[in-house]
Amino acid sequence: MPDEDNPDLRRLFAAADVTLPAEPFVSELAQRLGRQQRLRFYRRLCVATVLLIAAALATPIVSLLSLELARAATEQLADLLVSPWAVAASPLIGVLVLLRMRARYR
Amino acid sequence: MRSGLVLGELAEAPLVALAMAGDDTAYGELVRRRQSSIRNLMRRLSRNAALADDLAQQVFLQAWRSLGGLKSATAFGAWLRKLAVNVWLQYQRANRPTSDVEPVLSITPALSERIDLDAALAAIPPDMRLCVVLAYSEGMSHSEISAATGLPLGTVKSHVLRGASRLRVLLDSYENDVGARHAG
Repeated sequence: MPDEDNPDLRRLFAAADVTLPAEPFVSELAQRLGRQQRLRFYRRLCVATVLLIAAALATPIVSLLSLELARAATEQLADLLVSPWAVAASPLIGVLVLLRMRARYR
Repeated sequence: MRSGLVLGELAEAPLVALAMAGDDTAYGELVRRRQSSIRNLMRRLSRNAALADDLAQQVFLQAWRSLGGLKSATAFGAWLRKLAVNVWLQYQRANRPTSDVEPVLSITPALSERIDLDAALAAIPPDMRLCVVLAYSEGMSHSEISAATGLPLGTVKSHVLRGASRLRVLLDSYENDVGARHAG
């Protein structure tokens, strides 16, 4: 809502308004929009390609590393895992986890 | 495929909603309806038709990119206008003249013949011109202008008052000069 109380000036501005033809403005804008959309598509394609290549290169390394860590952990913890204490403790741990989940979702 | 005729009959709010959902044809119809007012606004501010059209294109490009952030389809007009003001202010900041001396226009008889509203607007400083155009051409209130431009409310009121006063002086001088020439 305007604050100004100057009808002469407002009339002048209204009279000076011209209806500008839509063309070629709209066509040029459509071309620029099309270029932006294509650029955005190619940018996303590049990012996806880089990620795919990085994942493909990293997978063997990560897999080997995971296997090594799992083997080392198993060797270190094997005695503990198969001990009577581990056999006794594991169902207790399971019960505790279940009780906490029930408490969280109640 | 939706025909252009059907879109042309829709009110603006449903068109905006369609455009927000990704309908490029609906956005094109919105551009057709709003391009004249945005280009006129930029012409008043920039005093250069080619620059005004380029800035207006930037407005519509930014609007297309950020349409998803529009809170309500009915607020499209005011939102687009605020975007236009931001584009103008960004352009001004990037192309600030080296001196901040206010333009001085002496009313010579030859000059007063050519003067019209746009030329009179060109004779007042950019910030003042922006406030006067938003107040009188866009019908915005002082607080709306302050929110759109980031200028303090007192500064906006002062710019609008002084700008309108200067325009009246320039335009009256033109009318008197034309009248005198016709009488003589």
